[in-house]
Amino acid sequence: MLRFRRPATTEPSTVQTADDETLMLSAQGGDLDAYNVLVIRHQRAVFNVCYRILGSTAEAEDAAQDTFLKAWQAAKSFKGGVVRPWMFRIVTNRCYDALRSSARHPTDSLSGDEDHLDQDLPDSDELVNPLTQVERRETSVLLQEALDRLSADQRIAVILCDVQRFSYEEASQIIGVPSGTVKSRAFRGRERLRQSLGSDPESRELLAGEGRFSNE
Amino acid sequence: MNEERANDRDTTGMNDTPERQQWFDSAGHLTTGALNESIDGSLSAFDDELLRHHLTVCAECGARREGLARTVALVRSMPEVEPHRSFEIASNPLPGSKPPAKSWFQGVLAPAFPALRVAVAAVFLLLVGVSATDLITQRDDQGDQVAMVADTPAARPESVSLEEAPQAIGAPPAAPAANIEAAESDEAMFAEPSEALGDAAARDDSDTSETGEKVDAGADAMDQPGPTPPPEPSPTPDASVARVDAAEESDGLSNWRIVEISLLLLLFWLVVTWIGVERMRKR
Repeated sequence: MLRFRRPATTEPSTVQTADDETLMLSAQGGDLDAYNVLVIRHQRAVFNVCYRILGSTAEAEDAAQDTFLKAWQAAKSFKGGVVRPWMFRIVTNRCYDALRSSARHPTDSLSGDEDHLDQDLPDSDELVNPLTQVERRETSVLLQEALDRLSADQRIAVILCDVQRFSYEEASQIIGVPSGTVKSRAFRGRERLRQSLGSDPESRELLAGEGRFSNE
Repeated sequence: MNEERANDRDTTGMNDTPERQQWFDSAGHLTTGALNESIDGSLSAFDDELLRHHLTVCAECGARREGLARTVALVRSMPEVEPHRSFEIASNPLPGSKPPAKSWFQGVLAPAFPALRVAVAAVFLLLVGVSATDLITQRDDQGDQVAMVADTPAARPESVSLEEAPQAIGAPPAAPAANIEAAESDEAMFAEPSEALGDAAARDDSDTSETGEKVDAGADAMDQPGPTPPPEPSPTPDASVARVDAAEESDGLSNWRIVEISLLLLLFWLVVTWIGVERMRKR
């Protein structure tokens, strides 16, 4: 109990090594530095989820920024537990809102974003074969296109369960539906992805070479 | 979306109870749920063995499972995209800390915007109501006054004969000679109708008035024929009361005018404020 009552501020030296929950307690006490450590820790994952769901770099950046701002403002409502699912719940809600908004005001964002995707892919792994890098980029583009063809529910389920590797139980808490429903959506989404990638010759080649690609 | 969900239930069979879970569809092939559970490795040893056995004999299910496994592996190996910028919060009011001081305009007027709209509407309706009532009552009063004045003999000095004049002022009829004398001595008595409309009390105090001597002269003349009868009540008391009421109402109307002008000013101020708030909101 004392842990919750004391003024939650973390020493600068321990901030970097503190776990998410400790940082969140500090953030609840108004420690912006501690919260920013959380942001840095999760921003890549949050941005990627936004990007995979929304399919646009600009929209994903807006959504990620909104998510961290909302999480900061709602820090007091955090009742304890694991921070990551709580934060991803805010992410998915924000993405659902963005998808609803874009459904009302459709824009041609995906066609123009493939170039961004090429630039966005990490080049940090310099030792990887250039051919593999090209393959990865192509795969990423094709996968993103296939993901965009899924319904919002299936897409979010697949991204949370397969890309972010949340368990079905965690994903059900994030989305706010029973775990059976999450499984159902994820399985259906995978099946559609398989059909979508299998129908495209380029994708089929990539799928055929996937064993080699994923083993590297 | 509902169709998809219904479809999900049909094909995956994941919403069924364990007793009802069926790994095979009506055509004898593995369901999507069974294949995915197999890929996730969440099947029991018995179910896993059952599925593996089926995959050895069913090429179609084997190909489906192979494609699904590759797809899942592909999705799981998707490279992460690097964000162009950091999402750290540079400066923000701390949760629970005091928000920055807002201007009076932002802090008070903007939140009170709906109330202001109601207030403006209410004031407008009040003004319309007051103006309408004012107009109607004014017109009625004027009509009543005109009618009363027309019916009052005292209000027509030019038509009052010298014999009727004392009655008009509430005095008893006097001897014609004395009356004529008194009347001739003071023609100014009828010059001012308001004096003619004075009541009995006013006449009692007439000793101290400017025309006191003239009235005394008339009273002396009236005393001559006999004892003065007690003063009778005015024959037209309603007319005098109506005049007083009209005067009071005219004072009341002028007060209403002041209130009206004040309310108009208030309305103007509210409208200006409203416009200001609207502009601020648009910004």
